[in-house]
Amino acid sequence: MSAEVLDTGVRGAFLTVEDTARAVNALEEEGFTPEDITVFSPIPTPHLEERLTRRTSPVRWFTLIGGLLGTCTGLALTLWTFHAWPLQVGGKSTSSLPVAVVIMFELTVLLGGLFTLAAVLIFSRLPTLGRNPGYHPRFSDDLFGVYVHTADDDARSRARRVLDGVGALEVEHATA
Amino acid sequence: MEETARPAMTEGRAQATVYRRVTADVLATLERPGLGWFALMALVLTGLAFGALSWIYQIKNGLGVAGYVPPVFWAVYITDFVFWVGIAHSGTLISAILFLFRAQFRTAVYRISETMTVFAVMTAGLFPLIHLGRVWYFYYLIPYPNERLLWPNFRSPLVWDFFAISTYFTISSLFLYIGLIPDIAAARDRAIEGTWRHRLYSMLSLGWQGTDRQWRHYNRAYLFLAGLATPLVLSVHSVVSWDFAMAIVPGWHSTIFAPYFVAGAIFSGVAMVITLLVPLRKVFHLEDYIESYHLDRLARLLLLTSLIVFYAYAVEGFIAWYSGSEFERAVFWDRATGQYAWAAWIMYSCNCFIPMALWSSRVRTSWFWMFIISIFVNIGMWFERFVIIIQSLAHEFEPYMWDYYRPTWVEWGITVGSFSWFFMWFLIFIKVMPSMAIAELKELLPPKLKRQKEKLEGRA
Repeated sequence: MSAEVLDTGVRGAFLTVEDTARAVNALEEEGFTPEDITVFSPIPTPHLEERLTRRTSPVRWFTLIGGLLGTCTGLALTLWTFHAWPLQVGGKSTSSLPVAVVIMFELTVLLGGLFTLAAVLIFSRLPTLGRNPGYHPRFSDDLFGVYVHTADDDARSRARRVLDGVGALEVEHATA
Repeated sequence: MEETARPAMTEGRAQATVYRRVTADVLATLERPGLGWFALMALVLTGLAFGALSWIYQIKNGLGVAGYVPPVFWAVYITDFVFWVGIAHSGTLISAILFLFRAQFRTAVYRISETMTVFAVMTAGLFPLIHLGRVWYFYYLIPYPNERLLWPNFRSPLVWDFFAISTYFTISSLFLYIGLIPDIAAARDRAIEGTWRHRLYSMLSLGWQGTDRQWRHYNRAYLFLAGLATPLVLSVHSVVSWDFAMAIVPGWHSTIFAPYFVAGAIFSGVAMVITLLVPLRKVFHLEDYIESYHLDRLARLLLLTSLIVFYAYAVEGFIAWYSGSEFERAVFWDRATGQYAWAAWIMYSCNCFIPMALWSSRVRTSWFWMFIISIFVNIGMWFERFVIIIQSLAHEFEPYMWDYYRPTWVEWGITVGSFSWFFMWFLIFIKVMPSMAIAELKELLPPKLKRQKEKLEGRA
């Protein structure tokens, strides 16, 4: 296997979100793109996440579509069953919309929730058996990490210099 | 000898130290269980065996072994069902609604409440089955067309209930699981490779690594699930209340039932959270995470819902009188003075009078008194359902139908079994999964840990 195929790069560990953000800024100034950079964090870091991706998570569309699908399914299921077995009671309508509302609401929430779960798994690429080479178990504990994915020797040494320059606790070469 | 002051750490090092402590403290709850845990487990398994045997006896001999007397055919099983669905409520209230309101005190307690929700719904879900004479026909409960393409009647509140409870169980389990993923990953990274724990956590963490991409989608999903779960919390017990309110039984047929049931459910759920939290904090030495500040906030919620329940009881009585309906009046008069007055007065005392002690801030911050009050509220809310269901049915329209229902040992056995089933899952959970949200505790450090961080930085 050639060296180019391996996922390889440079990893820096940081103590705070602010240090991590500084590292990301410095790396971008050095010419690295957000696609080259992965940040690891034990807590959510909304500002950094937005900065690296620059667009809102598409999960919301899945929630909306799932919810609407649930509403329509609830309406269709109740109305269709009313018509499939029309039972006239006391001269009332065979299609009782207020009843349908309960089923529509429940299915909206149910399918909205299931679609949201599917979306978070799809977009986060989970479940995965592979481990990002930049990951270190301390990134789920007390440290923040920045991984610069690059196979190029020159880029790696530039990334290493940048990470050292912004006060990384530790900078090392990481390979899958 | 003069003590040398330790040099102050930088902000980053102090933060990392506190973060490590949070991970270690929460994961310490997963250590090998002690004797106390095994003793409790033995106790709940005995209770569960009693419940299971009672149920087997009932399946063999038929529903006649329950104390049903016409017209009381909904009795302790339905009481248990509504009680457990009610318990399930505050979990999602604390995790979803308080999340949307950014109430910071929820961070330390929401995992316990969510867990309680899921296990309470699992317990409640047993009762529609137990209530069936022929449990092997349980699949009739599922909305599907039978051989003549006849669907269940969607006009029946029992079918709404099926949708409401199954949706609630699915969404609250999802919410619990999604919240757990980053914490399971932290547990995975600290587990010894090759052990069953490492394998379990590796599988359940789905390979989570806390990358910016993963957190970004995760946060959105969590927010949307909270948004979806919020109306669900309010709707589920409303739907349960319509099981009663849609019928014309005096004492049931009331428009106040939905808000009244929702407030009661939150009331009983918060009480159960306190019942679980007090021993858990002590046993796992979580005093730095769950402080009297958290207890005070939960106590205020308990007081507020107690007042709403108190108000609902008063309005029910007032409407019975003001409506001019003879039957309603008779039922409410009978409730306070008739054959089930003992149960009604347990209910009024536990749900309305005893919680009034919560006006005192000393009671609200006392672990001992809050534990005692929470037990009274649990008892009171069980009796509330007992009174609503049984007393109303036993005192319907026709005086010749009035009767007195007494639960039999089979029903008590199954009730004890249901509590044991709930506590069994809870005991297993606290030894397998992190009982507090590690990532969120780091994000919003509890006051004591914040002070520790400042001390390490030399600022305090």
